[in-house]
Amino acid sequence: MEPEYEGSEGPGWWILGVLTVSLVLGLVMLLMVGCQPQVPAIRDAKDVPAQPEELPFASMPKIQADQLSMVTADGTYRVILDFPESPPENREFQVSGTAFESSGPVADEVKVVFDAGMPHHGHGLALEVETTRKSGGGFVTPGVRFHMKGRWLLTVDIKDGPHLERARAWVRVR
Amino acid sequence: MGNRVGCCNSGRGTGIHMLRCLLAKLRSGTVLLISVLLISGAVLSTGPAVASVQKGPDPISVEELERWGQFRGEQEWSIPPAAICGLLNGGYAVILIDGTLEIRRSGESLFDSVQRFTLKIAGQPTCMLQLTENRFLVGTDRGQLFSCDVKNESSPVEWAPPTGSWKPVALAHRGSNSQVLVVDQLHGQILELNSESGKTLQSWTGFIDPTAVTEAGKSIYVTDRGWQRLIPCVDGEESGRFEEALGDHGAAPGLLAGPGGCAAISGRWIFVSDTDNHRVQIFGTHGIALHHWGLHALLPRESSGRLHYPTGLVYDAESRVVIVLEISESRVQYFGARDAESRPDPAELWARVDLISHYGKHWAIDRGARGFLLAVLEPDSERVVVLDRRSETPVEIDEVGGHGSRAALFRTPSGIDFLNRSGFQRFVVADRGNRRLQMFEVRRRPEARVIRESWITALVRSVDLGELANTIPEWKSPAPLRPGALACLDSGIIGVIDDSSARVLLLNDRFQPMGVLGGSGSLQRPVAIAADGDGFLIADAGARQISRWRLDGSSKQIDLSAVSQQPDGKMEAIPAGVARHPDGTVIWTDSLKGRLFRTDSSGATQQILGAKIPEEASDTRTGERELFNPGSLQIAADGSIWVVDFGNHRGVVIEKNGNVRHFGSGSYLPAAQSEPKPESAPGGES
Repeated sequence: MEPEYEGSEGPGWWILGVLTVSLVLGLVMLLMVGCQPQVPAIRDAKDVPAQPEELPFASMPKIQADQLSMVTADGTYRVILDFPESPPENREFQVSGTAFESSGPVADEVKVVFDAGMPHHGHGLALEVETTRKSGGGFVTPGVRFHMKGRWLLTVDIKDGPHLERARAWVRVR
Repeated sequence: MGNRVGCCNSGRGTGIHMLRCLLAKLRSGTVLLISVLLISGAVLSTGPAVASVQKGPDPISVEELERWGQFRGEQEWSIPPAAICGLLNGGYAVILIDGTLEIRRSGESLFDSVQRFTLKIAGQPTCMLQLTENRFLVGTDRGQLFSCDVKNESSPVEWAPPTGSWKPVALAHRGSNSQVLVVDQLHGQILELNSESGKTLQSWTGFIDPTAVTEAGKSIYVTDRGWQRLIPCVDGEESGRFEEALGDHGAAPGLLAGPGGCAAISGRWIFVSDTDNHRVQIFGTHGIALHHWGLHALLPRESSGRLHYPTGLVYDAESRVVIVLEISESRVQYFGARDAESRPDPAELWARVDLISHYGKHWAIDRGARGFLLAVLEPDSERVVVLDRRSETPVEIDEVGGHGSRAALFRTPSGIDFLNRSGFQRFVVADRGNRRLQMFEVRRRPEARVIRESWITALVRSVDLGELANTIPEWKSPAPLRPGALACLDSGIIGVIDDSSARVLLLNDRFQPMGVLGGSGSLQRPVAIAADGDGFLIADAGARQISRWRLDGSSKQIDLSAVSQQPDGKMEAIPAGVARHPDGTVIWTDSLKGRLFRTDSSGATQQILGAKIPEEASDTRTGERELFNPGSLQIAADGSIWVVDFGNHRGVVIEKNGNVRHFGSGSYLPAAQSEPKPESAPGGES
């Protein structure tokens, strides 16, 4: 036995009608707005609001594909990690990234250390890696190899003088 | 006689005559010859061991080394011993924490001949060495080294430190040149001093937490619980040869956990107290671990070959026995080699591969409104264990650390406390060996299921205190920092005891320096610290006092005069932990006699736990209301008191209603002691 609703008339035609009318109205309103005169390019000084202080991490670019964003626990540093969407299993690859403090990329003297491990298995990377600093807040860690599938914890330690802060992120190797 | 001589001198030259002459000569020399042979035989048959001990390079063969570990006896004291040394003419000497020196030599039986002396030195002894028959060198916790004549009442003569200050914690003779070796823990260095004048001849640096020194062959060997290794030093060099060090942190044979003593018995073999592995290991200078013996006590206070935190070692060549000091048990045990034919005791055969871990002397509980966490330092395995404390027996939900210098690892965690904050709870850990603080966040909400998850504790930040001190003029000190216990105020101010300068460093919750308390002798040996409103309570084991410090640097002593005093005016208790109860009283532990006290503002003091008189104490000291060498304590928001009963490897909680409960190592719980043992009489208790 067929369900009752399968034989009844649907509400399709009147819904389509309402949508069409809405679209037309929307287009007309957009055209009207576009024809308004432009705001003058130069305004009086009194009209110019005070220049707001630069927002924290304003210089930080947006995250792209194959990138990962990490933040230290108290938000002092942010890190953009160039990291594949699907990290390879048991194959060496290079991890690079950029570390930022609120005013911009970290200074060249700041040390950055990338590492990874599987805490619930009680181990880290099978081969220890070494991170090299680059200018502009950059860093690169060659020879990263996830030797088994599962959840890996990535850590980036940022050490400025005596102080160190850690950012963490989880990834899955399939 | 005359005929024989005349015959030989007659001058007749026949062959027969010459033969007779020769025989006569032989007869006359026979008596002398036999005498020589008999004496040689007697020496060879009765004294090979003595001869080889004193002259040969290796008094004990490798084959015999592997039979070492047989229990030969023990000696206990009612007052804890502080240090041990060998005697020049055989036997050993022990100095107790009250300055009593006890000399023990073998008479009719092993070390049964006893002499006692009282040394008039300030502070608590840390190490000792016999210089001459009656003169001993004694180091103290106040950073002094005294030459004391035991037969003369005259004041001890102080040997001045070479650089203004030091903390001698171990001493040894250097056999090759008759000089004295000193372990200076304050600067992490080994000094070689002239044995008569005390003048420094050479030194080796680079040590983190050196504990003992000995000479084997041409090298000096140093045990270091920061490096967790046995490190050689060579004449003419400025630092130890760390790249040639023996061992590493661990429990398998050849690895070490908190090495606390060493004694070379020849140019090649070194006995090492593997303190936190509760065993003695024998290393060759070639780097191979040859043998070990020792097994953690299966029952509280058990000896008979079972070891509990062995430290100092003395090899007595005369009796061919090694004497092992166990400060925590107030005793020494004697060990020798068993006969090749006899079967070894299980304690000699035990080969451990995993670190045994116990509660250390410090722990912390979170202060959130829904507080549920307990974080415990476990220096044996260099980690912090995080537990959910809401059940009768707290449940381990995570751990963090391990041995090392990288972020989130430790080299002897020495202090811990929770910050007071909303959201995920955070605790701060002091790391003595790495000279740093680390802050961790436990990403677990109270309503979460109580299961173990190995990733919930995350490192937030750390600070290198040594590096930070270089930038703060008021933090600079002649000796490297040595962070100990710590406490966090509700305002976020963190107070960290600096053992090396007996002061408290203040930081905010971002680890920025905020100031310093104490110093300049106002504290002697601070061992515990607790938040107390806008200030700190500090327990000073050296001065045997508790004081309250405000952040402006002013302080006021807590009146502990109600506790019995010694003849020298010192309190007959050593404070080891302190906390302020919500009712306003000060709760504190006494590590000397295993007691817990409550002192109010008028000085009235009530004993909460521990035996009131020695006769009350049980043999095992594990009764329901007993403590053995307790450490720090914490007060929960509900007023319950949480005490680390360090010597019993357990936690003791006094609930609001006065009930006492215990958790921790099974054999140390009161219930275990009340269970009838198979060999005991029906209904009998241990």
